[in-house]
Amino acid sequence: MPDSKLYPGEQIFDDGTNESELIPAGFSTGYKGMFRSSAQADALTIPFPDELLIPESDWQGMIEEMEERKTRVSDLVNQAGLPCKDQGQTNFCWANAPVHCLEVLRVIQNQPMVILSPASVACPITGFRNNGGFGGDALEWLIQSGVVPVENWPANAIDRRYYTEANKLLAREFKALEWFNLRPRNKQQHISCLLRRIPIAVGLNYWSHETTDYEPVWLNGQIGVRSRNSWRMDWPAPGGMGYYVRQGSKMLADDLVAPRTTTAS
Amino acid sequence: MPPRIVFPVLPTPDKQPVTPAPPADPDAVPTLAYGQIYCVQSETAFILLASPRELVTITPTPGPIAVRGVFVDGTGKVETRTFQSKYVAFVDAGETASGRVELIAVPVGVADELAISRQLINVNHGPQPPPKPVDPVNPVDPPTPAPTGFRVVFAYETSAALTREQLNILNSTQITAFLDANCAKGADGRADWRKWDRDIFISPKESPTIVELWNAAKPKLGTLPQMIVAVDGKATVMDLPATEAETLSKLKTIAGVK
Repeated sequence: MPDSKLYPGEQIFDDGTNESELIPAGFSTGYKGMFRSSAQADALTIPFPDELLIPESDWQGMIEEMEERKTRVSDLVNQAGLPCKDQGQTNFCWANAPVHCLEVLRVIQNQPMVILSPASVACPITGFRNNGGFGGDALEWLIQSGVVPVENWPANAIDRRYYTEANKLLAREFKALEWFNLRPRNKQQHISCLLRRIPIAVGLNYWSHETTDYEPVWLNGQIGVRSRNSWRMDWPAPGGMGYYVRQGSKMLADDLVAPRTTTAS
Repeated sequence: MPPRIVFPVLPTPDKQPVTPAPPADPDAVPTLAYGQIYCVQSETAFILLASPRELVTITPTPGPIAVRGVFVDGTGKVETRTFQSKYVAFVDAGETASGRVELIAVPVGVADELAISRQLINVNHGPQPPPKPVDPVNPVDPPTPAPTGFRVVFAYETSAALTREQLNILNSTQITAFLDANCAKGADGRADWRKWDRDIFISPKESPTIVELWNAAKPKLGTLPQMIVAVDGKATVMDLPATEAETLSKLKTIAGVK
């Protein structure tokens, strides 16, 4: 099989990537680890079902097929023109990634494209502090309260003035309805979920960062994962689209939440 | 001695008071409403199945586990309970599902049918009237009145094990490009087609025409994935064709596009 083609500006993170290359000057992260702080976390955990696992022997062929036929999540997202997130100077990567999953689900469901505000999720959780956090906590907020569009709460605004009753009501139009919680560092679940076109917000301990995984790729004779960062479209290179690929020891994630249905609004 | 699997003890619907009091109705079935917590527990490993499977979601989890919420056999208010057993399974009613479900708890390694436990529950509004007799002129799927114009809704279950080709069909950029170009436009000027999980929650802000189509055709949905296709004021529910190319071809034929 030929290698997957990279998107413009797309960069590969693998065993040879230096830690110093991971966080360029001027960018923020914020993922704190795999542990969820909420007391309700267990009650909201939906394990990835074994019947959805796809045998490893099928992976390479499925990747080739979805690339040839343009049935990848990135194909749908690019067709719709959905941009990546920009977390600015906030430490809210852990909210950006799950919120971006909802934006992707809206593309898949053909809901109108609405850019959603990660700050409207992170701020009530952190008490309006610019703190790092957990993807699982952001997902829990998306399930119970929803997220406000950036038109009504700017993406990175850590400001109580936006936490209004009107915005709380509006957020209910943008909730996660169904989801999976994948097991940490479980390649079988991770790749199977992506092959089923369900995007995953992944927390990476080595990077202290969380991004949105779109799909598996096949490069240099091994599997990898295409992900989208929340560092603007011109990262990792000008003219890029926010995509990067993780392979080898950099591929597996430590915290994986996968919203799979969002409100029809 | 078969392992003991514990289902919640639920009240059954009240009867009108009659004198003398009638004997207990053997057909009375307890109800599980959307949002209520229903927990089955056992000290030995078990598999919990639902028949039919579409109306509820079953989530096994290790116990003991503390849960806060509204319990199906509770007071109707939020409570905190701890399920002490080693093996626990939660049953959730689909938000828009209605019908009767048989829960079947099968201990792992079972050798005796007597060890299998069964429990009937009504989900939300319970069993619905049977569908009207099939039209002999169009026995496959009689059309449902629908808004005018060409509109499509793909209905699927995001937790189902879709086949490789079904995944290609449901995520085909060729098909979405065709639908974008040929479907009737909603109030916001966008093409009126959707891909929805059967249990989708629809906001009042959603396109009224697509909601009308969904509500009219949803009772006719069968084994998913399927597509609801409306044209000339009539909607038809049909299974997904076998391939992406056949799906595109069928949609073009129905839309009258060459």
